[in-house]
Amino acid sequence: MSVLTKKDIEQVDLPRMSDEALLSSSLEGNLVAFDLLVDRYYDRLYGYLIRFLKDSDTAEDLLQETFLRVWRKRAEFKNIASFSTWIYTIAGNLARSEWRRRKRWRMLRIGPSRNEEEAAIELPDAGIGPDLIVENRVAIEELTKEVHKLPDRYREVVILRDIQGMTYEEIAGIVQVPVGTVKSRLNRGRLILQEKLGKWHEST
Amino acid sequence: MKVRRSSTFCELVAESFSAYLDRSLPASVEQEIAAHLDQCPECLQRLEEMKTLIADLYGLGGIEAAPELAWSVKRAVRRLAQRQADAPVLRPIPFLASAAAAAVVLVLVSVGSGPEDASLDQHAAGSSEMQVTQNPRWERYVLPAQVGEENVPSLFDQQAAAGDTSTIREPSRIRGARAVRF
Ligand SMILES: [Zn+2]
Repeated sequence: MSVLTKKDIEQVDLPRMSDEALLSSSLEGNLVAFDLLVDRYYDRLYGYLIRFLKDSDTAEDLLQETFLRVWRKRAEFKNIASFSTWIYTIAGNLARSEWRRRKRWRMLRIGPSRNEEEAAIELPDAGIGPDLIVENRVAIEELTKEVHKLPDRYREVVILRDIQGMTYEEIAGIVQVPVGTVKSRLNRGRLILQEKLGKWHEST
Repeated sequence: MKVRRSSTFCELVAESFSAYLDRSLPASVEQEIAAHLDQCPECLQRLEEMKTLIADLYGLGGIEAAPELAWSVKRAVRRLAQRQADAPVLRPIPFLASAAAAAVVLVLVSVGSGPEDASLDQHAAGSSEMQVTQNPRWERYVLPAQVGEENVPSLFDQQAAAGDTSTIREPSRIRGARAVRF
């Protein structure tokens, strides 16, 4: 086949297409369109998952599972929510059930065990970028650790809002709670962090 | 305006910090809090700390995932797509539609449901998808566009040609926290 098909021409336009249009193209089996969705989201979803779960192996597994679910359920996507909210909801549900599973495991374990709350996230080079003002500010590592220690309902909204910059409405869609609840959880999460980091400051 | 000061009221003010910073409080409440902040250095300091905290969290930014991670996701999706394409839910060639439909019925009766819902684990453990593809009964069906072997984008052709169907678990090193917000 040497003649350019309508599909070939569409491929050229793919990068300019919206997420929703790419998803609908992938419904026709267009894997290149789906690849673009992977490219657009894998980074930030990974960031969300690893910050939520604190463990890169699980974050990788769940990242893959998220996209596989999106592929399987792509015909079910309704334009009620944005694609972004939809994929985060899928990832969030996976992360929450993984978290619950782990909690059960922790309760079942007998005797001293590795305290996962204390487990450090694998951030390279302490993650301090040159443009971040360190003086008079909380060290990145300490902040990351305290975010990890937040109860999951607060951690989730702090990550989505303060680290990933989502709107309250998007977060409400992802976490499946009212916007008011998102706001109060966010405030509570921030206050807890302030308190913890304040103590940390005093002790250094 | 009478400025209220008590530890309970300070707590109440703290509960409203985020809303205050968002400027989403009713005007009267906002004024009351502003007046309180003028009189209460503790609350003012706490509010300033919250602003710093928000900036610091913002500064954490995204965690840059290794590109290999995206590749392994794409490969996994291709394996799934291939498996689904091999399953007997394919579109028949139009002019053979009726014959194909009949064949689908026969096939469904004879082999039961396809491997579409096989779990990832089963797949990773080595599925029998290639045997299904080579079954002559499938030849009269057209794979959905882009899923057929010829149409699979070249990015992964080499891997596929090398028969690499292993579960890809390259270590995805996080190469640096970027001070970039997504
Ligand atoms: Zn006060």
